[in-house]
Amino acid sequence: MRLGAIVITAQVYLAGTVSATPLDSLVDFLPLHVGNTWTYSYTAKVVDQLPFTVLNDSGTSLLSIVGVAADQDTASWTVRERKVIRRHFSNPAIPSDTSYSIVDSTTFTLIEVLSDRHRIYRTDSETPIWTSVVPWFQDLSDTTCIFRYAAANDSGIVRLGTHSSSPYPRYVYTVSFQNGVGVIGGSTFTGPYITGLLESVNYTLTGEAITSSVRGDGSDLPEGVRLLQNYPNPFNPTTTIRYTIPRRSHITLAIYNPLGQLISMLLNGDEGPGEHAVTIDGTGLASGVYFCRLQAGSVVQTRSMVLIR
Amino acid sequence: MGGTSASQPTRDALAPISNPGQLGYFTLDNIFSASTYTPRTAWLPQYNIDGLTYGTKAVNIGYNVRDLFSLPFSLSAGVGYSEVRIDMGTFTLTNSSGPTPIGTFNSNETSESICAAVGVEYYAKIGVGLNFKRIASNLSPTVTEQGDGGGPGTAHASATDIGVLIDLPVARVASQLAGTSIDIAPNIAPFLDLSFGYVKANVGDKVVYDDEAQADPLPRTAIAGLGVEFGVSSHAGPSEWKLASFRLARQADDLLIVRYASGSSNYQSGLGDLKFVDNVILGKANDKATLRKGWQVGVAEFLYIRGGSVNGPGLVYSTSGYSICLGGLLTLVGFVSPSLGKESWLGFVGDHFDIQYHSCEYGSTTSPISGTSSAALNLVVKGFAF
Repeated sequence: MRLGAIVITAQVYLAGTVSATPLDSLVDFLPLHVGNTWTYSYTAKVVDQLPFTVLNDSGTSLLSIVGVAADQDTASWTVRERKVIRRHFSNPAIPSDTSYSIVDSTTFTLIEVLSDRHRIYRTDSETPIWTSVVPWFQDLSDTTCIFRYAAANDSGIVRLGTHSSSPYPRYVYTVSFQNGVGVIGGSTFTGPYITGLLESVNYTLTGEAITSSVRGDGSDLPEGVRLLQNYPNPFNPTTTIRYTIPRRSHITLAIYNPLGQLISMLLNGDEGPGEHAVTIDGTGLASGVYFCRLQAGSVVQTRSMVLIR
Repeated sequence: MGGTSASQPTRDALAPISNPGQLGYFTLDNIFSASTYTPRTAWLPQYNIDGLTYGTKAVNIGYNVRDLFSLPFSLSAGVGYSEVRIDMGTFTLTNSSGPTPIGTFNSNETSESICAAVGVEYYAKIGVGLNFKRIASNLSPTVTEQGDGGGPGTAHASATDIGVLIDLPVARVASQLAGTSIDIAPNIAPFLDLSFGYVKANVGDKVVYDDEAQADPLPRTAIAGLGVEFGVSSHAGPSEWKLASFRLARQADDLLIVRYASGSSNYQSGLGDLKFVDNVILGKANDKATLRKGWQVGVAEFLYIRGGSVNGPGLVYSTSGYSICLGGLLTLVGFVSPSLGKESWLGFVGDHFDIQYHSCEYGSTTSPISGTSSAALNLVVKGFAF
């Protein structure tokens, strides 16, 4: 016997109330969907310690849900946050509407805004090593300050340095950076700073943070295991099967024919809490009745489906 | 016995459904049989779907004309009717916007069959038959999710089963050919029977529900099996009576459809992926053929205890069951007390009638078929000469 093949595409939907900080703003973007992104406004908690103008920043941050953390009984999501870490406008006359960069989990990018052009610096390596602020880079003669990216040292701190005509380089900003994760914190000034050092430079530093500490309190999670009716039904050739599970469980989702014969094992593994969906393509199957069977722990539910060509 | 009924001789009136050759074999010694499930089987009870039931019934009639025409061998013919119906229960109608129900419908599939068969006994018993089936599939009142056009999701198809069953009583034939008795006691002799069955089922056209271009092929299936039964029997009465018997059976099925990723399909020829030596004789399973194995212990044709297993693509389960047969009980009474058995109405009933109760249950750790059980009543009339 040769059984037809089923093509499966899966999608995950989650619901819950996020209670963790510092990503409280997530509550405004429920339900959380893996793969979905949101943009929200924020105000940076940057203390202006410089004698020149460093704006307390506000802007937008891009959040994306990249996965479900392996917590047993609570909704927990892995969240990627892209945001402006620091923006500096030393010369208000220079346009400040510069875009910020998009970085991946092992890099971040510095955009230097000059009066007539932008310069972008970013890492080319997954494991760049911060060597030294010396020698200072002076790529452009008309640039008084150039920032360089760097990866974490042993303490996980990235230092961004400045170049000046002074023989004494100064750190102006530090960023906590975890290799393979990205920017996870920062904003400590390590002066002293030389007045006027950055006066002619506008810059925007963007970074990316990934956290798995965003947890739901479960208030919006499904109360029980539930296999919903496939839709559409009857179908030809694709249909979607949705189901909910209240806590992380080992589940199997399988299609059987009326003989009790296993046609396709759609899922067999651990799933996080929430609502999930699987789309099947029955192009290789004969018209007829099929049964979709969900088992989550000790709970078993079955739905009848009809494929008609 | 693991669903090996296509290759094991039986008086069960439902047997021609799996092999029309069974009817030819049956009519060599019997005149009439009728059977029905009692009640309809709750099919796949693990699904807990209300209305998902399976039922079947059959009636057969035939006659052996050997004495009528003074033939040197037995020749019989018979016809039968059977119906197999599975009700799929109530379905929920949804559209592509989501799982919210917008209606319900019921599905069922029915196969009605006329069986015609002949039997020949010349040392071996051979039954050859055909099932002419009319299949009605009512999947849905509509093929569209909105129910607004496209016609109903129903289809009708015709199919034919071709089957042969051969039963060779090795010990008896050897005794006849040698001209010696092998009795181990007065009128009691050992027996050794070998059986072979072959069926090509569901030969016919395609099934069209909505789009002829997407028509489904009928589930043409090749079935082949062997069996061996041995024990001791009495030949004091009008027919052989098996005092103690043990049967082993092995059968393999293969769906002859080859499906392609494009949705098209084709039939395999011959036995398809079924390997007679590997699957049937050696009992080796593979990933394409369904292998069935079974055993049966019989006591005086009154009580049968059975077991078996099925191992195929996506399908692994065991079977267990038993049968209680009134005819064997009455024959046993007549054997133990000849005056009571032969001289009274009990003897007459035992010689000519048999009422059988069959029970079967499936078990599995992986298939939802586990827990499905069925029961059937079977009436057999035999031994009348007209």
